[in-house]
Amino acid sequence: MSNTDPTTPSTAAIPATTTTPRTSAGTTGPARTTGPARTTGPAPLPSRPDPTPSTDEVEKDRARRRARKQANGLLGVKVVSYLGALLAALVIALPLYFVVVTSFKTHPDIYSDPISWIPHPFAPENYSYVWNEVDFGQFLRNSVVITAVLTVVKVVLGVLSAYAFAFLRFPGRNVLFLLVVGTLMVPNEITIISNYAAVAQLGWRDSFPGIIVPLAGVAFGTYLMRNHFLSLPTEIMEAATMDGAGFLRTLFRVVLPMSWPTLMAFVLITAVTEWNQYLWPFLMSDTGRVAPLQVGLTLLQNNEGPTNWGPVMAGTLLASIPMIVIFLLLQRSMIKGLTAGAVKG
Amino acid sequence: MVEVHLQHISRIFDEKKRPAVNRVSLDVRDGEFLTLVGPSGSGKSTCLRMIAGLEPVDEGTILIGGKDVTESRARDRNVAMVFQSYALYPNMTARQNMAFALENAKVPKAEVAARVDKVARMLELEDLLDSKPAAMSGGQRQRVSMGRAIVREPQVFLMDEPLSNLDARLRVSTRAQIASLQRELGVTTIYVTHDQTEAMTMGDRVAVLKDGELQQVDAPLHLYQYPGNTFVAGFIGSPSIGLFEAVPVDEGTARWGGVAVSLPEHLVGRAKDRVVVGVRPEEWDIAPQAPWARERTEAEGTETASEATGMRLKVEHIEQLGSEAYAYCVPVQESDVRLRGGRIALRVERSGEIEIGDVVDATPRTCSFFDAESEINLEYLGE
Repeated sequence: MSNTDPTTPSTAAIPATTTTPRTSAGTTGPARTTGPARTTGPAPLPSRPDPTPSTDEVEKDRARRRARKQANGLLGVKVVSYLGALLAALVIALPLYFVVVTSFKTHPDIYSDPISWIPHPFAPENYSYVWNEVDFGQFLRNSVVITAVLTVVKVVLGVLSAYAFAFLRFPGRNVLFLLVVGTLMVPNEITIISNYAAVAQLGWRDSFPGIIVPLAGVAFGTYLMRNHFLSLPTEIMEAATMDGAGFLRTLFRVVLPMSWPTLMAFVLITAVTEWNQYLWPFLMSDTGRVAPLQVGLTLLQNNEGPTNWGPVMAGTLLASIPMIVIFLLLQRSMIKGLTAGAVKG
Repeated sequence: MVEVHLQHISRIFDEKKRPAVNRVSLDVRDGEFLTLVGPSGSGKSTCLRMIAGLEPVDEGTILIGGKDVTESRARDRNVAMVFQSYALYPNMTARQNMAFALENAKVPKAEVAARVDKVARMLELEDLLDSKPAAMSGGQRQRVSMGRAIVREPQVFLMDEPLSNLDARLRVSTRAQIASLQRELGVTTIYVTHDQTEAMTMGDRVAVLKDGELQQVDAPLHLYQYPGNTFVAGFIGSPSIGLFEAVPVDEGTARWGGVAVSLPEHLVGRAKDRVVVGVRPEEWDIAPQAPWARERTEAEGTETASEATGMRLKVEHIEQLGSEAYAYCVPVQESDVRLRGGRIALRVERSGEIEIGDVVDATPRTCSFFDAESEINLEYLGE
């Protein structure tokens, strides 16, 4: 009966005069609680001798109704969100599904009308065809070399230049940074002709340096990492200075460990971009000796004519597997880093 | 012997504005605990950062242990700093945080381990050595950041409001710990705070800064009793001193609102015809008026007090602290003498003695007198 204590004299007086003392005994808000207690169904029967259970029932009833209302509201929100998610998933998944399905289809099955949603007959030989007929291993190796070298170079250059832009004070720092960011606005296609002329003069056509060096310029990474570095607490950098850590030691022991998620995002974006490079490597690899997978796939397309999509799709899927693996590997540390930062406080 | 000498140091961020630190000269003695105190924007942290080497010195010279370090890099000054946010490396454990500076200095591994363990024992950090900062409480992080400074065995400790992120209770206990630790280690320490209680309780001497200028450096009690000017008087002490402006002085006696206070003999010659009088909350004698007198005052409104009966004050607010209470009052009578801040605090020794709305007669026991124009304490002025 402790809930009677807080009632102020004024509110307690109202039920005492208008209703029987029985109802006023256990109620804190008399006008509201006595009404529904009588009107709602099952509660009053057992509660007659003592009014408190009836108020309990009312409370329970109200809570139940509230919960139902909340659940209804939640259900509505849920349905809408699921519909949205489903739509987004369809837009992404449908083409992907067709890539997968087509890679297992035979030639006539691909062109069947109406479209067949499930490969019939099932033709996994597209994969062995790609692997054996085209020099897939060679292209894969080239792709790995180009992507690995470019990723390492770009990440190193990006981190170092960002570190300089963020923490070194030198004249013209902001102008230089604007210039670097400005290069982001220039489409790659514009520089292709001059790059081609330069590389041809150097005698680098049909070689790895010819493909890699012109692609090694980094602006996005500098921008991304610099902004991240600037968001790090300055006091920690100063603590490192006071602790006698040199420039590079501060970078490797203090700054980079705190930047793990951003760095991983940078690595991932770079790796995927370089893996998917097409135009420049295509122009550079005259003989196909240093051509990456993406160029190899077009060779496949040309060999077979535009008609046989089965092996092309199989090749496309094979080409995307390494990136999926890298994503799965890096995604973990990205998320781990993100949550660690969030909890740190 | 590590003394720190600041010789007219200035830090000018913008030529058009006043310097953040303006020609500050300060001598910190060997093993001394000096607190730098001042309101926000007074330049105390900038001053500390200049000593640390994190901020360039635009004018003047800094000597640490007799060596001119004005142009030296932070790492070459052999000073350790404790930051307000602790600035622990989040990717390192407490042990790695503490060992980092020693590793950078290429101290042999065995010695690093021994020194870290010794400091961890001293600060009761043994159980935390393998935890990362994210897993520690604020107090623990604070201790680790102290440990990181101590383990380096530097010439000078610099502390930038290291307690301001702790809760009130922990702050009081840590305050005592830091002060005793400093005494034990005997390392010259400069401690920045905006909390005047911290400054008073921890420092051997307190330096008060305002707008980048040094106002006064003195032992805490002396600073409290003989503030150099009205700013120091108002800043040091809580609740702050009551300041009566433009109090007329006649024949060595300052008179205002029913109060007459004789200036000490040695100050009489230094006072012009008007002075600023400061009275600390505990320096008032309070005589609560009898109920009949209270009624009469209310009925008559303003009443001319007879000579030196005390200042008639009305209690507007009472701050109850348990053992004592502070009554915040406004003068009842109109007067030419303006009370700075509009309210005056009085210490009431027995709680319950006075209530809000009461009218009391208060007489000051001891006052400080300041020059009306320069606002400098007459004690420090020449004849």
